[in-house]
Amino acid sequence: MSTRVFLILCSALISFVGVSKAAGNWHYSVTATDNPSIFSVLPFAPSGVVRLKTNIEWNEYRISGIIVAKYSNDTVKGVFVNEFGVKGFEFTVCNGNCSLEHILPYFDKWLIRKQFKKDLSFIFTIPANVECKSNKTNFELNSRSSYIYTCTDNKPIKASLMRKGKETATLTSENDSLFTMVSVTQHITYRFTLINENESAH
Amino acid sequence: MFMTKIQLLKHLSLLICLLSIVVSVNSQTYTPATKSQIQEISANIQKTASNTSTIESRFVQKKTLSVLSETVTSDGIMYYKKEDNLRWQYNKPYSYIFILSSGKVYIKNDNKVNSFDTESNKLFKEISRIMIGSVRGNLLSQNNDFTIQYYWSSKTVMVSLTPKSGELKKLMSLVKLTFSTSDWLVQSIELIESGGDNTIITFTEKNVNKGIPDTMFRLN
Repeated sequence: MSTRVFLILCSALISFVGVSKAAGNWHYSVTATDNPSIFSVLPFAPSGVVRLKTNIEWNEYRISGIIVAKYSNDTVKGVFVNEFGVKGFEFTVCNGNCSLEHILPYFDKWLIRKQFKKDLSFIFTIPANVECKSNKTNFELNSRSSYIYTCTDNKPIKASLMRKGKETATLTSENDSLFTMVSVTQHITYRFTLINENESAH
Repeated sequence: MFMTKIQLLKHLSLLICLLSIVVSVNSQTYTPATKSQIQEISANIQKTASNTSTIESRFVQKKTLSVLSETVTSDGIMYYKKEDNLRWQYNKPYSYIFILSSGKVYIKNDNKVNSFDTESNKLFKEISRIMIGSVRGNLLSQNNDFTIQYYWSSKTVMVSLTPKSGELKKLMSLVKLTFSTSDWLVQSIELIESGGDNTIITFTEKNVNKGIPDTMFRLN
């Protein structure tokens, strides 16, 4: 099976779940509710769950599905399934590291695994102890990578992944329900639409 | 007054019988079908499949994500027309249309249409075969590809199909089709992955042999 056909098939088979977490040394913003607010461009519910309709465009390939991600105790677990419920993979993100499990054989290629792990780590990074202190908030993931968050009304609306001083990827909130991640170096775009649990995607 | 041992045993036996009845009524209790029952079940399913030209049905699909203790629920409408035309239309949580027709697959997502040739692609060919075969019920005749077992209960028949090899085996470890004995149409499809997660599709409001225009199996 050619790679093109493989990925086209995956476009009909994949849903998207991802959450990633990275540790940090910044103060964590907490709302006056029972559950602390989750510092992320993506709209996690107070329960820690987010459901996203997902479309991935990677050069000429298209992949679509649903991501369900759950944040709990500094760890994010997620599942990527397609519209028919076929699971693409599960993943776990903790301390900035992403692992994939139960990978659909069609996805189990070195390059695809590598890309998804890298992208999902960035997309769903939830740094601990971080808050919007100003329009720009910096968070150092490690010695090589950092995130710059652009904030409005004390909420991050854009995250930029910086490597060696260059912006390599961005995750932007277009509005309350539309989000876009662009990898500048890999020409890959993720488009997310929030799915409310009891409603349709907007 | 104390009961004698015999009276006590009689009461206990009655209680056990009553409990058994309750268990059987409140949950589907399936019994493996005998050889003659299998023949009868197969004959009924095949007869219905032969007499069915079109099916329109609502469906609800529930995908269990055990690692997250979450369920993803979708719903939509399915259209089938002889011989191999299938339109699988999701309306919730968002619009997504999957069409099989004349050896081609069409997918409409976010107003974008992609198409693929099933003959040139093994996976889509398998998916086409499974979906149409499940809807029609004639998947059961494909013994070379599946290990098939039959079970019956008071109102339904359940057929389990274990893929023997090939593309489908990569996707799932077991397919369960449930047929209503009142109309011998597929009532539900359960797809079980090797990791244990499952997807259950339940059909309701079925309309059989009502006209469905060919345009339903095309995307503009």
